[in-house]
Amino acid sequence: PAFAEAKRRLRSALTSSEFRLLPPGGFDSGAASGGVADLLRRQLAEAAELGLDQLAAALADLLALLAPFDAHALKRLLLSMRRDLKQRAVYAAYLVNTRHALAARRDRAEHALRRLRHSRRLAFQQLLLCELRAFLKRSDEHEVRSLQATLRQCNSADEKCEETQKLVAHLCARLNWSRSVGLGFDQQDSSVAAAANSEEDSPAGDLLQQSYDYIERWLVSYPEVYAYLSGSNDMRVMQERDEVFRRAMDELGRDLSPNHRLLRIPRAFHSGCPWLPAQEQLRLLPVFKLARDKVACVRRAYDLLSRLLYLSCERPLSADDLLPAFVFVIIKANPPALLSQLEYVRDVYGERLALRMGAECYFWTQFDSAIQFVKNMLAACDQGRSTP
Amino acid sequence: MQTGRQCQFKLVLLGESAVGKSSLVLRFVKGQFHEYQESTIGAAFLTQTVVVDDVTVKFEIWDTAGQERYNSLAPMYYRGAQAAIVVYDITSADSFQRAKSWIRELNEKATAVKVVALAGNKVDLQQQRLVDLNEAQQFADDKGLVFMEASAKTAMNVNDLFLSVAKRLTQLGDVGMGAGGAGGGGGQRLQGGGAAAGGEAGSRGGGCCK
Repeated sequence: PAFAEAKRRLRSALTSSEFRLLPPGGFDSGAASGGVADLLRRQLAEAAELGLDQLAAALADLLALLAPFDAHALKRLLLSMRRDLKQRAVYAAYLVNTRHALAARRDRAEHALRRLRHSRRLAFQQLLLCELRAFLKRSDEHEVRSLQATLRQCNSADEKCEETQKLVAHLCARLNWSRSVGLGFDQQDSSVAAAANSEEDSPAGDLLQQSYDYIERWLVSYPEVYAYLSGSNDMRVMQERDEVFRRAMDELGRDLSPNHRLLRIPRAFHSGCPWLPAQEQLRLLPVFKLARDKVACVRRAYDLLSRLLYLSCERPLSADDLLPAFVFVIIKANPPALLSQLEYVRDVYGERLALRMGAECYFWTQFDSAIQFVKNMLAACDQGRSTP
Repeated sequence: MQTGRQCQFKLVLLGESAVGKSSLVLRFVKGQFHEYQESTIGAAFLTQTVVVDDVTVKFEIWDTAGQERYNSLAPMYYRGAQAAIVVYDITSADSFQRAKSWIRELNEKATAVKVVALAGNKVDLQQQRLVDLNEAQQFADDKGLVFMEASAKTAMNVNDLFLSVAKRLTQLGDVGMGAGGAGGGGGQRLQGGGAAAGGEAGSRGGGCCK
């Protein structure tokens, strides 16, 4: 019984996570039968030094237990332990495998949960949109018409923005969520709402903000409202100017190489050229009607470009690297009505953007200045042609 | 002085390409030089907060493209900025000339910019030095600039550079809020322009202390 007890205690000491002082190369049962006591004593000293009282006590106790064993008995003990280890190896391997499988399952389950949350958020947004659409249909279009009339009288872009905001706020206030049955989480299903709110990425959390944004987008997407907001009363002139610019840029972009003397994009970046994802994002620019959304679209394009450039050089990118590539992408993407969109954002959002500063403002400035540079390039090319 | 004040300043970086503008900023913001972390993709726009004399100063650092062909775009970047750091490379005389012309341009056109710093980067390359320390110091003193030679590689003077800019900005803020005697501060470089600059900064919401 002393033998079994000693074996059990020694095993538990050796498997303890505090046990780190194995001599290099391990020790074999033959030569180191005296080494076991040595090892335990060293461990005891370390435990005492670190103030691990409980471990030290257990080790001292174990040493006392092993004291009556002679070298032969100790060897027998170790050999028996090794046998046990071999016998258990299969089971240990099985345990490790099961652990792996469990970790993999858990990962898959978490992934599924993330996807589920995502689709729930999307479904919720769709529901919200349906509800809002129905509401806006009910709310008659005469508000929009009266807004148009007001906008016609406004002179400055500020006034126009203010009028639009006023109407959005007005409509938003009239939205009575407690009566909306479609979403039904205020009264009928408050438990659902509570559950949704308790989670971190609650879809209902920014309900009001989402409605506000949606109504604003809806309002601005009326071509008449958009036209009035975009300042110029003479749409024809603007369209013509946009068209001229677009044609010129098209011509410039047709055989534009990243080595163009006004761009000189470093060779290290050429592997990703022409950075199609960034171009595609930029082409979406006219789809967004709200100035804020246009700015966000430009920022996404810029971020995509940064990521692509980073993939080919793997060092942080400075403006020296980014601006030439951005110019290249803008020329190649050539989104329609670029100039009037630029002016639109400047008029209705520029002030707020500058006030807020921040990354958004920086990226928009990059965009603005890149287009300015395209204009310079066009002028330079024209000059080159007229004086060959 | 009140305690716990918070200020936000837009700081624009100017200087020829390859003088190490973004390296200086990366060193200041992330403490990095070569050993970049995966998370640092863009160094064109970064923010960093420092505390000087009980004032929390948040810098918004705007990088600009330094190649000569983009020079005409610079006003779009320094518009509304309260501070500018003009960087040159101490191993390139050209970059120092370019820095001088940036400073002249800022003096003429950048009305909101209240503090300008001149920074000579790559001071770790002493053997290849082509710009004399005394000459640069003299120039900076004449123009009333914050001046420092720094090294993004060894981190020498990098934090001090930004801290001095922060310090001077907060001091100017105090003077400006006092009796309007903005011209008296040692850090003023725009004769009589201080008040106007302060006004513009206030209306833009940047640089004002909240």
